[in-house]
Amino acid sequence: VLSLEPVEAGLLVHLAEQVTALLTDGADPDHGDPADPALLRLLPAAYADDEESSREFRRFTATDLTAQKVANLARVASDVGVDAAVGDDGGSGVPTRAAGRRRRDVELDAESVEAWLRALTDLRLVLASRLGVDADGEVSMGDEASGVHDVYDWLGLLQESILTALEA
Amino acid sequence: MAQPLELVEEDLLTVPDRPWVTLVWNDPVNLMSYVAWVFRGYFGFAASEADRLMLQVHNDGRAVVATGSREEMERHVVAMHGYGLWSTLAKADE
Repeated sequence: VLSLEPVEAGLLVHLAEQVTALLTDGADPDHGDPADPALLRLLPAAYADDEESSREFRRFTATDLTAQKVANLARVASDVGVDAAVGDDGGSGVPTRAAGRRRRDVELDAESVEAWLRALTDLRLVLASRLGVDADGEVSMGDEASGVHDVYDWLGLLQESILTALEA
Repeated sequence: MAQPLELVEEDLLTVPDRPWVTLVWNDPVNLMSYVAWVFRGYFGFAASEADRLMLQVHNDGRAVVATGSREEMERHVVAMHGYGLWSTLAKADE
């Protein structure tokens, strides 16, 4: 069970929407490497030194892989949203204004755990790319990105907490 | 159950493909605990083997996590991409 502040729940849904848009808008009909480094990290080349084989690989895998990633993000958004609507008002199922200010307990079944861990990874990969995280984990963006950096760190903590709960 | 003669002959004459490998590369984003979880869950490795490979990725920059036919390795690579791991395939001797 995850307990989320309303602002955290809203942030997760917002990020999921952003990355979904990145995945769905960025599809390249020619199956070349995506120009956007964040999208390239989500859908990396399968062959390090063979552009033609990588293109062929994309031709056969990119659509399904993109759909899978979008479905994971949608699952996170719906887990956050559904529980918010049902949980906070005594079970009537009607979302109330007050519900928007309370913590949300999100219960994850096995399928959701799988989707959340994968989706949190994709969100962090995109944020890391935007932040310019280098191979040593250092961030090249300056203070103006500190808010994004906080979000990136928070997503990592959230993911770690799910993994820790799995091993407990 | 008889196989067509041509097919049998072809099987005998074909030189088996050199094996391919699935590589997982280090990245600064993915948590070590997550990478180990993927190795346990997807490949079915015991915790000790998953940790060993995860540490090899972390310390050496990459690790071979599977060996086999090209098609099989392509399936592993797309699965790794599904988990957000940075993975490629290559011929075993490259």
